[in-house]
Amino acid sequence: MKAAQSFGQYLALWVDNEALRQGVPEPLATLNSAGAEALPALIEAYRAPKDVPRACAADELFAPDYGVNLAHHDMHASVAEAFHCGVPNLNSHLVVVANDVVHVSAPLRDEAPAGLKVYSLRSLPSEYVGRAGELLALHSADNVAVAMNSLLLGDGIYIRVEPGVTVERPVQIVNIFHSDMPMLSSRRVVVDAGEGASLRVLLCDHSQGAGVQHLNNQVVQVHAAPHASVDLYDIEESSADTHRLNQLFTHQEHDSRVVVSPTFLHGGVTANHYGLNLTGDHAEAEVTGLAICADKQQVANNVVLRHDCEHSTSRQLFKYALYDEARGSFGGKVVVEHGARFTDASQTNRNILVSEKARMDASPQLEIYCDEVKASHGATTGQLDERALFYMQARGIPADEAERMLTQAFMADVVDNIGYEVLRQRMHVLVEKRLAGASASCETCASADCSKYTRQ
Amino acid sequence: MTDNLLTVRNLRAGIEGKEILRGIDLTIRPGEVHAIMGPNGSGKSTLSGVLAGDPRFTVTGGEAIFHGVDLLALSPADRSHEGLFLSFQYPVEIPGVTMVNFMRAAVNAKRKYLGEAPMSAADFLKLMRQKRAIVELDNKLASRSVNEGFSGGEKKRNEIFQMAVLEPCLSILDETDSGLDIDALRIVAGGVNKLRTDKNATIVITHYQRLLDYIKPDFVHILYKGRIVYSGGPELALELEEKGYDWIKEEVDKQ
Amino acid sequence: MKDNINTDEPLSNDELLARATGSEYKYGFTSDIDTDIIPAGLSEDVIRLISARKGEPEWLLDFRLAAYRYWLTLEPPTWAHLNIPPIDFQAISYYAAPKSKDAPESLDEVDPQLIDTFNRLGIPLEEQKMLSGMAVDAVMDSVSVHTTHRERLAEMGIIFCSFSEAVREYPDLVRKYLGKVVSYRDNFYAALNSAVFSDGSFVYIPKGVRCPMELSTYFRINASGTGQFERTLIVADDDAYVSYLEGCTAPMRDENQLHAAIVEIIVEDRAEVKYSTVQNWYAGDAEGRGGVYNFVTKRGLCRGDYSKLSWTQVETGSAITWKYPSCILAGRGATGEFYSVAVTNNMQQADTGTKMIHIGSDTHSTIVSKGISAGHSQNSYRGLVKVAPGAEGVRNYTQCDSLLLGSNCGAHTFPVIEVDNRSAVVEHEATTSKISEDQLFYCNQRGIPTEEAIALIVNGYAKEVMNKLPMEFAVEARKLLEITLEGAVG
Repeated sequence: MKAAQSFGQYLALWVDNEALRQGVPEPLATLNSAGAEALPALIEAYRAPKDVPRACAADELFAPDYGVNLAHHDMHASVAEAFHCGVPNLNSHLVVVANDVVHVSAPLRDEAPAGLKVYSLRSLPSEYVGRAGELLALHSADNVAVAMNSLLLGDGIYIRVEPGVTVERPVQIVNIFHSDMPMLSSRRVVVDAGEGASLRVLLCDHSQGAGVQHLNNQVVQVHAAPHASVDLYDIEESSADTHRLNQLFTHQEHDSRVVVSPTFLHGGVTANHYGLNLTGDHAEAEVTGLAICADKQQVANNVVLRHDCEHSTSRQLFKYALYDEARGSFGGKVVVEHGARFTDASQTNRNILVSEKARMDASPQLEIYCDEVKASHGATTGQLDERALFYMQARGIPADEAERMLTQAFMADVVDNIGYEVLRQRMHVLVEKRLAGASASCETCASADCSKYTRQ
Repeated sequence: MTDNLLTVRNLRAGIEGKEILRGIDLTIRPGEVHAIMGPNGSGKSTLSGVLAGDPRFTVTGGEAIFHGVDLLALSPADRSHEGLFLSFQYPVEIPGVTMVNFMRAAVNAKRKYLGEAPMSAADFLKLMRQKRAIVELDNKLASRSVNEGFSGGEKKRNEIFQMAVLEPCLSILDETDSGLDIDALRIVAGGVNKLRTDKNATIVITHYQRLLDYIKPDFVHILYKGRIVYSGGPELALELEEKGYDWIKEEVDKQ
Repeated sequence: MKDNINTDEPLSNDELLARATGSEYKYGFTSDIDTDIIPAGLSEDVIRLISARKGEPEWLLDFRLAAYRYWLTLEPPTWAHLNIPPIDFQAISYYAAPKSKDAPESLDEVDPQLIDTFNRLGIPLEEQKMLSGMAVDAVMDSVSVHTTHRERLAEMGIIFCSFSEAVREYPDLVRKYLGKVVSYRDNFYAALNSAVFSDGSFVYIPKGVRCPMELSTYFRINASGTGQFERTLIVADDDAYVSYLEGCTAPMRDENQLHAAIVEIIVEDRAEVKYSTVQNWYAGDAEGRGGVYNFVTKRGLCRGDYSKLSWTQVETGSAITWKYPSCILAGRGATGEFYSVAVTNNMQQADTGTKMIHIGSDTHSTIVSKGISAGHSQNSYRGLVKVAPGAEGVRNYTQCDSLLLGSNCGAHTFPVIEVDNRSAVVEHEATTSKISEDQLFYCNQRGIPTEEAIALIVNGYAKEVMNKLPMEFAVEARKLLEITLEGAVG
């Protein structure tokens, strides 16, 4: 059976190489074991999902024979230390993850602002081991991919913001993939925002060197205590050979606010799953994403947004522009539980098929068990407005440029939704560049520095 | 060889297999204002659309020579670069594209076509400011999306503003008076008149005489069932105002 | 404290709810008719027996047996948002016929009790009711009992008769189309139906003929412990038109009754078929005891260019509804429509919707679905809009709205949109809301009691769909809606 093979090879590798895994610190050791314990049953029960393109299914993504960094060799430590991601070109607290090795930048490690703690899970101060372990255990085996992440996780990031603390500069996590051989990286980020805390996190995915297959199996957990606010921006600008399976889970207590904003500019096959849980009254969640896909890229975004409290609000907005033979998929489910009164949920998905062979699947779903709700969703798939195209051409704007401008305008409201102004402006530029045909790899994107540092 | 600005010969065109223009002949020289009038459905807007290259229409015959260039062979954008301007009867709303970005793209595309360097941001803003004054267009409109949320009058003024920026040698005003109150009409017509020179020409497409009180035509043509059935001086418009279109219809339908 | 908004309304919300759940099922009488029932159970022998009873040709028996053998390999579908108790398929009798004659030649031969039953249902069975302008095929339990207006229709070349009769009289036509749109391999219940179907209606409209009256079938389950497995086959040849109505009722019984029907429609060049359903099977009592399981496969093939198929359904009955009337739009310029009102109350569950499969170019489809949930019911819309790679210029517009009356019910929307051609424009919109307090208050202030106001508002909400029903049906449907929702305020 395919699932047994594709996942089983890594489990076997882990079991067979116990010697390589000596001295794994807590809470990682416990998490690894939890993954190992849960996997056989999960693999057995695994069925490929029907609502995403085949290539985005977990068994398909895990099927190749990737290398795994079981011994946790630090392959690019010097590279990572020196790296400065210029994509957002902003002043941030930097963490670099080279493949699956975490490097908290020196200034962040040594001079972080009061109330902000950012640690590698391998070098967690003892007072945080318990708390981090507790949070990790919440998502140790939700599904096969999460369990695989738990099993193989050699390192991860724990971000804690103390109650009442507002962190001005964003914490930026730069994921770099750089290897001479195909690799599977397991990455995990835990954001733990205390009561009334406020934090912005920016995740950037990059790859260096073309032609090497890479799978990024990532799990992100966000815990927002009462009145906390977490913005999580996620920019994927890697390569056609870089695939990602990204699962994000949030738990929101009352009056908290979480914004999740994924932007797909370049990559191979990407499957994002967002499991958002609004459990405290007056919680607010926003998920806004855009994907510009070309060539044979495949992008699936699946949102399950659960309202289980009163007066909570959620908003989803996803836009896709699909070129060439790209394939997009959007699944959004809003669940309003019994008793979740005064819920206000909206969900919008808009897609443009630019090329003949592009295709799009959408499934915007509502599951509602409570009558005191306002819930709506809309999905459209179509083309750019032909009247607008002609109007622009009649003013002398060539057809391709008019198309580009309209596509950019189409995406504008998603980008405008980014609350952090410096990043918003930067994102407008990135989208414009991407639409202008710049094959947004590390070499051509704004982070021109990247190659300089990584080729040494 | 002539010094004609536009020569249209036996132009035929239609939409979805239905023929609407059944052989149009029209000659326009620099400095002239031509009014094209006619009852609803006579093909007025089709004519303007075909000349501007609206992809909804299919040309089935004839030709249009625009200062020596085969107009119908050009893309809509190149027609614009060559100096053809269409003021749309229904200006299109383009959410998310600001007026500034829109006009800068238009101006620089034309400059590129003409082999000129792009205009500097400062010069461009200055140009916008100057031209805005011609139609008394609010400064705030510049930062708004193209035509989005504009009132009927604002949309038409915006059209004339764009005409002022692009400095065409042939402007086609398609029902520019529709939906305008008398004050807006005066401003729009005033703008058009300010832009008139002896080098450029204007085609005014209208259903009513009203606009022609403000933009004085040299020639008036009556379009009916896809053909120009009458041509004359300004007095023809007055006659139409008085007698309506019925006598024309009767006369033509008799034939 | 006294409710001073509306003094005409002495009932509390709880009382109103109680009244709603207590509202009587108007059609819940049984008829005391002699019925010929095959003992419960399903096997090849039972199928041979059904086939023999009906004097069927060999090929049809083979079709049934193939379906049965395939059915044995299947499990009941579980993907719907439904909680279906296990069904003992061996406990059902697969054939129940009113024991009068094999096929009544005229009304005189029909059991008077039966005629009385249909009269009580308001079915214009007798020819003197011709003025109502409707031709009726009445199906009691599993057997077509009587078809009206046949002579007049026959003059125009229209065939409208029971399925069994069609098998006898027009075997070639039946054989040509049977199972061509809904294969017995389609799904669990389609396989079951194909194995055991007992009767149903057959309609053939020849080239260029517009059927001058509404054709109608009334289905009634009467005998206890029986399932009803009818099959409807409608063929509209080039340039033909027909409007077809289907009504369903069943008596109140404690046990659940299974209804697994198949409707197949073939629409040729420029032909048009309108298929309207008012489904009012017994829904079970307030505690969810009894009621019909309505597991139906309905599908039309718009094979011809510029053909059109329009489904309109008002679903108020059944304990569980599992039903997706669909259109395969294969011909160029074909049009598919689906207009649905689904009302659930008490413990009812409905999972209904449509599939629009766009294969031909310039095909258009419209979906309007209005779900209304009350009591402890669960009401889901499930839909698929698919645009095949070669289908240019496809348009779809979908609107599905849900209205919640009460805090213990659920309303769900599960659409899937697959677009494989860039020239398509596909739009989906959905909203879920509770009945507007403002509207209720406004009505109250104008002196309209809450209960009446709800009926008014819900009817307004469903109007877009109700308007698609033929006149004769619209009145009945509106009443049904009111009865189903009587007092259901949350």
